[in-house]
Amino acid sequence: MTRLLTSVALSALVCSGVAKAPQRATFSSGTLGVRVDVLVTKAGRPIAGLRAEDFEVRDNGVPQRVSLASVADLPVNAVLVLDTSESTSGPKLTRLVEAAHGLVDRLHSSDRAALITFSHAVNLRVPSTADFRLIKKALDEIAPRGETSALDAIYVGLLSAQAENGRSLLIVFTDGRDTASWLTDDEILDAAKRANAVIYVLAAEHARGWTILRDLAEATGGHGVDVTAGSDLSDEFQKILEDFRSRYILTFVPAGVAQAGFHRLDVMVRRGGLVVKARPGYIGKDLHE
Amino acid sequence: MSNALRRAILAAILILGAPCASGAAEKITDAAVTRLEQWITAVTDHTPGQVDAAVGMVRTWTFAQRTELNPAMQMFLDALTRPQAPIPQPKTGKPARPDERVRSFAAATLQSAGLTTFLERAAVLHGDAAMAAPFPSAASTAGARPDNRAPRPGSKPDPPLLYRARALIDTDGEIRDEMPRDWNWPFARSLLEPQMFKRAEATWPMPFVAQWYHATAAFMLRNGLYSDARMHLQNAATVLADDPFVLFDRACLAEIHGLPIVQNVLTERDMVTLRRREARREEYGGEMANVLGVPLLEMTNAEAERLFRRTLSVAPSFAEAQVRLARLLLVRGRSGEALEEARAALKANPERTVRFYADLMASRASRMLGQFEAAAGYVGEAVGLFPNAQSALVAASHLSMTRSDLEAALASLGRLSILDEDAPFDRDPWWSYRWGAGRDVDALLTTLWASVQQRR
Repeated sequence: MTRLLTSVALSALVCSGVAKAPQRATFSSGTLGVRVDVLVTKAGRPIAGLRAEDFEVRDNGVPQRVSLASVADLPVNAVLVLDTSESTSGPKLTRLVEAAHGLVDRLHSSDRAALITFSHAVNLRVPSTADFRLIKKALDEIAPRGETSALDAIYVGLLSAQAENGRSLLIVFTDGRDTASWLTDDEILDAAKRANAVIYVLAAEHARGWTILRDLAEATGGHGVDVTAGSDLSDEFQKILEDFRSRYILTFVPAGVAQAGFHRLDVMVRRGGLVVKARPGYIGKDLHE
Repeated sequence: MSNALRRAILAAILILGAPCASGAAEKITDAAVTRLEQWITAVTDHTPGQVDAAVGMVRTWTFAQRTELNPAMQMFLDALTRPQAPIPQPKTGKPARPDERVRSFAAATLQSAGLTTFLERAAVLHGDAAMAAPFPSAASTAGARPDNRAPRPGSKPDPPLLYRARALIDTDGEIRDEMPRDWNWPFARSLLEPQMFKRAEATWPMPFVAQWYHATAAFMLRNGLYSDARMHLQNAATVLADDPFVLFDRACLAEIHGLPIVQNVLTERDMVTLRRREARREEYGGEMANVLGVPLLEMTNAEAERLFRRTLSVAPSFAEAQVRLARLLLVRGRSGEALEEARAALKANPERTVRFYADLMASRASRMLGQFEAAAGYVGEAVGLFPNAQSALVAASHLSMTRSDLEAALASLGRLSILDEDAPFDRDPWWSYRWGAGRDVDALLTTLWASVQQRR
């Protein structure tokens, strides 16, 4: 059997026993664990039917005993992080809102969603909820204004996702680069490596080629999409959701490695011709702090 | 990007203007003399800080009108600053020649207002005219790029009145439009040049000039007129080399050039090219970044650090210079030095906004040094100063996340959800960090205008 060795990714912190977020934007926290969110494809198409024994995960080079979570039991927690700075005004925003509506329509009743918008101010418009009407209503009320605090907004999205059960998907849309965030590239990347969300980025106009967006997607096992004038945003949102739903969730309790610091992860699939995509590492908790 | 920002970071990028007016008419026409007389009246009548008829008049001057006026203006200023030269009197019964009228205006001006007061007022009038200029429409979007193109070798500088460079306006690095640069700024500067006073054996009013440069530079920084600010402060540096506020403003401008809002224009490819060329000391070429004049991050940060250190060498207790130096040191990975500077700024007990910046910088430096308790203390102070500041709340949350305290990280962000989404800029001082002295522009200009008005 051919081993496909790929640097893969992992979610650092598995939340469990999390209190559901109330309607106002408050955050709850979870207990520690490690989760690996893995996409396996062949010729670009997701491969289903793999079992835990088909995977091998190495944490800092040390093989780990992994379990395969039943994806069906894990609802999707979709966090939309949308640029609503003034540059998005007009047809661009209309397309974005339509695409977001489409994504919400495709969520299952067991899923949850949250909506964060950002100009220079980050606005947690709708905290995680199963009542998607709230999301749709908020989408229709978006008015573009202001500058761009993309990195701070992604950070809030990561934390918001961190507070929820299930599998967290961050969909970030922006058409420009940051002008107003406090967090630096290094700091948001560090935060992403500590979180358990997978980030998909839709980058339009000047945001295309913005390195940190690509790095964030890569560091969380997601991917970035360049949006052009001819792109069908609704289609892109749908593809992201389908892609995310076809992922495997591997979990393990790190053994034989130090707790703190950055852990390099390698995920192997014991089948030939498969492409594995996941985050390349995670940052463990320093219990001595 | 907001209209305010578009206005705010409107950039004059590149002098596109043709060499201009060297071939201007030298003959002083009656129309020019009339216009000069109107100008003298406008200078005298202008109420500083008001968009009054005087401002309205100079703003409507076309390039052709200024070209016609220029010989008369040059003669007037020459006569004004050389009072020892005899003033010809017209023969009785004959109408005065244009040059005679111009010289008599100068004599009358010296007698009424005096050289210093008149030139100060004239500089204020043209500064006010520049500041009253409409910003480009929303369609002509932003870009805050310095102008780094040197004058063509051997080219004769244009008379300030005939300045007619053009500016490129860009959005995120894409050139969208061009517009004339405002001639009022170079003309106003020329009126305050030391040689104007030296020729007249008058004392150069250095305190006023320093005040004028600082207040007007603050306006430029506040409104993102970085290219104008660059030229303005270059000039200020030649006449006020060791003035702490000029040094500070220059340092802030260099720092701003390193902030994302300016650096965003550089692609990775641009940066590779610029670094290669910098290493080879080659001339910059035609890449977009070079056309727009965006400096390499490391170069502009180094320049900003140098200028903040010079500021502190002449004004050691300049707390905001210390804070900004701390930020630059953080960017450059020198956390220990950054913490020292931020602590020094805090010891000086600066005003609330500067203290907020100092606490944020001290917190980031402490965190990077692994001093988490100290970092928490500083960021807590920042939150206490501005409880609704997004930057401080995010910084506090991020610190908690770094310490693996998810609950605290989430708690810090909770407040964001109850804040007004309109988010006025004064909610978070970090959002106005790039304004530098522009944060205080209203107070600075009010003081400037009052000082001129008092001497009326």
